Amino acid sequence: MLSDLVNGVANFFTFIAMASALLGLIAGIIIGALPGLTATMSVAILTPFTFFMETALALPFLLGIYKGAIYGGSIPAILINTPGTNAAAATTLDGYPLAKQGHSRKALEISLYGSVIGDLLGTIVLIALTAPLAAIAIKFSSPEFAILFIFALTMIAGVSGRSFAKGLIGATIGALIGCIGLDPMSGYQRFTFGVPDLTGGISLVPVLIGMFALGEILIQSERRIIGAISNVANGGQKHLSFAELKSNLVTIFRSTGIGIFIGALPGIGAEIACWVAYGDAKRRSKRPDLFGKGSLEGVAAAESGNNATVPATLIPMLVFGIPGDTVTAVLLGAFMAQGLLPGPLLFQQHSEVIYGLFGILLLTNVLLLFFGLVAIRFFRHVVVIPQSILLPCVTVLCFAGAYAVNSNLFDVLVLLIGGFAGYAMRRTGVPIPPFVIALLLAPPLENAIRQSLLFSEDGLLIFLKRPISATMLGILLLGASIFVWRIITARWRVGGLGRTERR
Amino acid sequence: VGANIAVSLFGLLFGLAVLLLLPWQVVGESYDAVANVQSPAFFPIVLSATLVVFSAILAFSTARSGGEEDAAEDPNHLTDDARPMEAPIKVAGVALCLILYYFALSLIGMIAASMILIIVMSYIMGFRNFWISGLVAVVIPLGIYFLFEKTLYVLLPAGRLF
Repeated sequence: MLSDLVNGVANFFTFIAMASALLGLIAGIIIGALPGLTATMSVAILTPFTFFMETALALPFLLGIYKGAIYGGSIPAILINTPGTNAAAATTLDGYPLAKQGHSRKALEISLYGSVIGDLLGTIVLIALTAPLAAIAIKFSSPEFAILFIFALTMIAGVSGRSFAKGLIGATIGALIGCIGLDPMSGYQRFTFGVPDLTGGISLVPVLIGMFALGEILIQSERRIIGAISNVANGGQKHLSFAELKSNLVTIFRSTGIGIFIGALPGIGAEIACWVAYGDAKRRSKRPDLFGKGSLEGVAAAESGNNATVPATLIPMLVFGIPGDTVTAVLLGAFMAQGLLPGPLLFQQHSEVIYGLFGILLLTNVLLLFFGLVAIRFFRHVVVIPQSILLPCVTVLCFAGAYAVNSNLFDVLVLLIGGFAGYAMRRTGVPIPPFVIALLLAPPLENAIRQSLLFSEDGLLIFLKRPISATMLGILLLGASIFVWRIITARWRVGGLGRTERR
Repeated sequence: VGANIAVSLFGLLFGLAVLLLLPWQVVGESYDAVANVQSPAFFPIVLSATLVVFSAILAFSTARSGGEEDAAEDPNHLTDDARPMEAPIKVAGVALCLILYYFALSLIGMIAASMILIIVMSYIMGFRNFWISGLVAVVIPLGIYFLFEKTLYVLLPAGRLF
C-alpha cells in the first residue's frame, strides 16, 4: 500500500496540482467565511470549473474547497456570531463569547489547530481503512449492493431531517427522477416526454447547484441582512499558548474520533458531528460551566469534530460509491464528470488517482495550517460583505456554471427548477440529502435490484440467502418496526394529552 | 400539520401521476411489468407504488400524532427577526427575478441580463447603495465573462438582440 501511496502522490505532486489545491483552499476559506454560503454550495458552484481541468488538477481543487469551506465557516462564527457554514454552528456558542472577552485570536487559533489535527487524523484513518474495505466490497455482488444502497438511503432518510417519512418520500422522488432517460438494461426511453435533452437523463450538476445553492439563496432572501461591521468582535491579538493547546489536546482527539465515526456513516456530515463533539466535550469537561460563556475547549471540540468528518465522509464514497454527506454527493457528481465512478472498482482501475487523492488530502492539511493563519489575520473583512449584494453575484455564478456543463439552456432550466424544489423542500421540512443521494444512486440501485432478481432462482429470497444482505435486511426491518411502533405510540401519547387537557 | 399534509398530498399525486403516465412514457409497457424485472417499467412501478405508501404513512402518522412532530420542522426557517409580510414578498420578488433572468439570457445575453439581475435582486434584498450595486453589476458579469469565455473557452449564452 505504501508504494501505491508513493506512486499516487508522485502523480499529483506537480507544481500546478499544488497550485490548484491552494487555489481551491483559499476559495473554500473565503466562501466558507461568507455567512450564508454553505460548504456544499461552495463545492457546487465551483464544480463546473473543474470540467475543463485534468483530473490531476480538478480533484485537488475540489478537495481544497471542501476543507477550506469547513474551516472558513468558523471565522464569522467567532467574529460576528454567525456561522459561515452549518458545520460551524456549534463554534458560535463559545467562539463569539471568547471574541467579546478580547480573545478572538485565541479562539481562531484553537479552531485552526483543532481543524488541522482533526483533518490529519481523519485522513490517516481514511488511508488506513479504504483499501481493506474496498477489498471486502469488491467481493460484493448485486444482492449485497442492492440491500446496501437501500440500507444507506433509509439511514440517510432517517437522520437527515426530523421526519423519517419525509426523508423516505424525498429519497423515493429522487430515485424516480433518476429513472428519467434511457433504461440501463434495455435502452428504452422512460419519462422523456419527447424532449431530446431528457434522453440522457437529468443533468446532475445543475440539479445539485439548484438544490444547494439557488434553493439556499431563496431561503436567505427571506431573512434580514446580516454582516454589519459594528457586530465584529475585534478585540484580542493574544496568541494561543502552547499550554492552552496542550490542555485541549485530549478534547481534540476525542472529538476527532467522534467526527471520523459520524463522517464514515452515510448521510451524516459535519453539521451533526460538530454538535455531537461539542456535547460530548461539555459532558466530560472539568469546567462545563464555561461552555457557552467562552470555553476554548468548546471551540476545539466543535472544530476538530467537524473537520475530522471531511476525510471520513470520503470512506463510504470511495469504497461503496455512497456519498457520506451532501458535499460528497456533489463531489461524486464531479468525479463522474471526470470519468471516475467511485466504488470498489475505482481501486482496481484508478488506484493512482485514489492514492494521489490521499496525498492531496495530506498536502491540503499542511496548506490549511499556513493559510489558516493568514486567514485569521486578513479574512475578518470578508465576513462583513452584505449578503444582499453577495447573493445576486452568486446567483449569476450559479447560472453561468449550470450553463457551462453542456453549453445548453435546458440545464439552466433544470437549475431553476432544482432551485425552486430545493426552496420548497426546505420550507416543508423534506430533507434534501436523501433526494440528492437517491438521484445519484438510482441507476446503480436499479441495476443491482434487477440483476439480483434476474439471476435469482427463488425470487426475493436471494436477499435472505446471502449473509451480508440478510443481516442488513434484518437491521432495516428492525428500523421499520421501530418506526411503525412510534407511529402507534404517538396516537397513545396524543390520546393521553387530550385526556389530561379535558381534565 | 399543513406542511406534512402538503408533502403527503404531493407524494401521493406524484406517485399516481407516474403510474398513470407509465403506458405512454415507457413505450409498450403496462402495469404487469411489475412481474418482469427485465422490463424498463419495473423499477418506476416499484418506486411509485412505494412513494404512494410512504405518502400515506406520512398522512396517517400526522393524523395520529396531531402534527406535533412538525413543530419547528425546518431549522432554516427564521421568524425571529423577519417581518411577517416582508419575507414572502422578498422571496416572491427574487423568484420572479430568477424566472425573468432565465428568459432574458436568450433574449439579451448573459452579460446584460446579469447586470440587470444584480441591481434588481440586490435592491429587493435590501441593498440601497446604488453606486456599489452599479459597480458590482458591471464588474462581476464582465469578470465571469472573461473567466468563462477567455480563460476556460466556454461560451456563455448570447442574446438574440445583442
